[in-house]
Amino acid sequence: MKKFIYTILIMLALVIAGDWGLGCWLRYAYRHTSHDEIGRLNMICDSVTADVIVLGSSRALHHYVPSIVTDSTGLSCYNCGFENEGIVFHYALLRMLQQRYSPRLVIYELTYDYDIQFLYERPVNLKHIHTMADLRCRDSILASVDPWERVSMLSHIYPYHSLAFTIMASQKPSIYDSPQVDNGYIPQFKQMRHSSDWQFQPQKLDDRIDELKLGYLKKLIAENAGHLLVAVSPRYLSPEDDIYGIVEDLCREHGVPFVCMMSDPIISRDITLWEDDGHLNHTGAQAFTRKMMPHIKQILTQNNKK
Amino acid sequence: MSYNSLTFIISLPFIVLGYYTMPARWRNAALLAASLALYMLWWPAGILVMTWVILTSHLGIGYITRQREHSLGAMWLTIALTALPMLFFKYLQPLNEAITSFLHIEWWLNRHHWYVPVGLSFYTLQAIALVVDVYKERIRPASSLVNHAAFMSFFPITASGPIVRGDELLAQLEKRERRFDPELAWQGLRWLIWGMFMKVAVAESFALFVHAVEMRIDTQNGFTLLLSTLCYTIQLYADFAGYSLMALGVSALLGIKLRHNFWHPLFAVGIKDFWRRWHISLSQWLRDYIYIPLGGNRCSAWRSRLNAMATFVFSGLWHGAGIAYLLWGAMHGLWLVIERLLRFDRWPQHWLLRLPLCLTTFVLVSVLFMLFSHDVPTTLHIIDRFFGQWDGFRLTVTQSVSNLSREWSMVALFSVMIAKEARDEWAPTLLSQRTWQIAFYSGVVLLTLMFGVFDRSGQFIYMHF
Repeated sequence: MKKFIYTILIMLALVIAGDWGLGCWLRYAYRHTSHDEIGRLNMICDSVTADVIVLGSSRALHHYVPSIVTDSTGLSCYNCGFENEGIVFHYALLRMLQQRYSPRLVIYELTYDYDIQFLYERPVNLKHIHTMADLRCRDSILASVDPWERVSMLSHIYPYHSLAFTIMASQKPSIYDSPQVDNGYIPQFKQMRHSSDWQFQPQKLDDRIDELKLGYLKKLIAENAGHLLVAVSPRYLSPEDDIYGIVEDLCREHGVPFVCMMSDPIISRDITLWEDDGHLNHTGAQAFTRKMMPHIKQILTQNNKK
Repeated sequence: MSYNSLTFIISLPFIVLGYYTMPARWRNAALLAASLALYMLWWPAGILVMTWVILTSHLGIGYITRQREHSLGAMWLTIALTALPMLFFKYLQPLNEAITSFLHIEWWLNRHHWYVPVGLSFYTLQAIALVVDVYKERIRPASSLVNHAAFMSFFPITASGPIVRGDELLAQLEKRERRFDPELAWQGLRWLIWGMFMKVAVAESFALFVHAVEMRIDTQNGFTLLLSTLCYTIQLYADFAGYSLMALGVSALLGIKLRHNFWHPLFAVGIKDFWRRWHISLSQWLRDYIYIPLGGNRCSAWRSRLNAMATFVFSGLWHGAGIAYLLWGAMHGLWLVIERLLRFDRWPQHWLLRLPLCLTTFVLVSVLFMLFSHDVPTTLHIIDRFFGQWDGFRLTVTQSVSNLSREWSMVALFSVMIAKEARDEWAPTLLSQRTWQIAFYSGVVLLTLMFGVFDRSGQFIYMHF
C-alpha cells in the first residue's frame, strides 16, 4: 500500500512539475510568435487601434477590404476576421480590445452555423480564448461554455493544448505576412469553376439553435448598440432565406442596423467574383465592400450627429 | 457521463474511496446505485430499457434453474424477451423506413424517431450469454437480484463493453471480500492513463483530419481519400480500445480484473488474426453463442465455411441495421473463407512475409471499415476516386499552417502509440521496472494535456452501436 501511495505522489509531482515547465515554455513561445494566425492574434491583442474593426469568421476575413473603408470614410480600419471562429471568440476578442480603446464602429459579419446554429460535432471553439491570458473576462466566458473549464485552466499546458506544433510552425512567414494583406484582410485570387454537370446544392442550415451562441450574440448586440453594424455577406447562388429573422428582430429591438446581402442579385450570381461557394475572391470582396459603404457611412454619420 | 470528461475524472477518486470504505456487504448495492445514477446521466429514460433487460433475464434465469427438466423453451423465451428492446430500438425503425420508402407510404411510425439507449447492444449480449451459460450449467446464477443487476449494469462497461461473461465478472461480484489490491490498482491506473491518451490525443487528432476530408469528399484526390480511410481505422481503434482500456482501468481500481478487449490489432496478419485481436469480447461471444452452436468446425468443410459466413453476417447486423453493415459482415466472412481455402495458417511466419501481409490486412480492413461511416454508394464512389483521381502523393485538405500542425501531431502521436504497442507485443519486459513506468506514464499524462483535443464532443464511436 505504501509503495502505491509513493508511486502516486511521485507521479503527481512529476506531472505538476512538467505541467508548469512545459506550460511556461508554451506561453512564452505563443506570446513571442509573430507569424501566421497566432502572430496575427498577438498583434490584434497588443496593437490594433483602428477606428473601424471587422469581426467574424473566414467570410469576414476574406470579404471586407479595409483600404476601401479608409478611402471612403477617412477612418482607419482593421479586419479582425478569424477562420473557423464564431460569436463566442469574437465577443471575447472585442471585450479584450475594449479594455484598451473603444472602436468607433464594429462590423460583425454573421455566419449562421458559427453564430446561431447548434452543431453537435463542432461545439464552440475555445482554442484561442484559452490563450488570451490578459483578458479579464476570459474565465467567465470559458465557464459559461463548460463550468469545468475553471478547473482545467489550473493546468499551465491546457490553455495551449494541441497548439505545440502550430506554435513551432508559426515561426516562419505565412500567407498572413504576404505583402498583399491589407490591414488584416486576406485577399483570395482564384476563380470558382465547376464542371458542366455541376448542380447547385444550397448550404444545409437548420433551425436548431445553440442557446449559448445566441446568448453571446444578444450580449454583443445589447452592449454595443450605437456603434455596431451586423451584416451577412453574399453566398454563391443563395436563395432568399428567412432564417435570419431572429437576428433581425434582435437588432431592431436594440436599434442596431442589420444588413443582409446573402442573396444579393448581382454578386451572388456572378461566378467570376467567387473563390468557392462560401467565399468571395478579391474582385468580389472589393465589389461587396463598396456595396456596404453606404450602410457604414450612414451609421458613422448618425454617430457623429449624436 | 463519458470517461474522458473531467466530471468523471474528478468523481473517480471519490467513487473508489467510498467503495473501499463501506462495509463489504453493501458494495454491490452501492455499485448498482452508482451504475444506475451514471447511466441516467446519458439518457434518463434509458434506465427503463435496462431495467427490462435486467428483470427479464433475472426472472428467466430463476425459472430455468427451478425447472431444470423442461427449461429449453424457457431459455428461448428468456432470450427473446431480453433481446426484445434491442430488436425494437435497433431494427424496427430502419426496417420501417426501408419498407415505407419502398412502398411510398406514410404512417405514424415515420413521424417518431428514437435514440438507441446507450450500450443496449452490449448489455443485451451480456444477458443472453448469462442465460445460456446458466442453462448449460457452466456457471451458477447470481445469488440475488442486486448482484445480478450490479453485473448487468456495471458502470465501467455499460456504454461500450467489453461484453463480459458471468464467469469473469459475476464470479468476482459474488465474492464478498474485495480488498484493495495495490498492484492491480497501479495496473488499472496505467490502463486508465493510456486509454485516455488513446482516446483524447490519438483518436480525436485523427478525427479532426478524417472530418476535414469527409466534409468535402469530391474535392479530395485519391491519395487524400485513401489516407483518410486508413486514418479512420486508426481513429476507430484508438477510440474503442481507449474506451476499453479505461473500462479495464476503472474496474481494476475497484478490485475487479477484466480481460483485454483489444490486443494490438494493427499488427494482425490476416482476418482470423485480426479478429483474435480486435473487439475480442465480441469475437469470443460470436464464437461461443453463434458459431459453435451452428456446428463450428465439427462438420463438413463447406458447412463450417457457411457457419463462419453466417457468424460474420450476424456480427454485421449486430453493429447496425442496413445494407452497409450486412455487406461489411459478409465481406469479413468471405475473407475468412478465402483464408481457409488458401490454408493461410500454414504460411511461413518470417517477418519479411509478415510485414507486407500485415500492411495488406490493415489496408483491406480499413477499406471495409468505410462501410461503418458511409453508405454503400458513397463507399463505392470513394473507392472509385482512389483509382480515378489519384493525383500523386499530395494532400488536398487545406494546406494552412494549423492543418499541417494537425498532421504532424497525428504522426507524432501515432508513433508513440505504435512504439508502445510494439514493445508490448515483442518485448514486454523491456523497461518494465516501476521507475520507468512512473516516468513513462507521467510523460503520457503530459502528452495528453499537450496534444489532446478537448473541444470536440468527445463521444465514443462505439456508443452508437
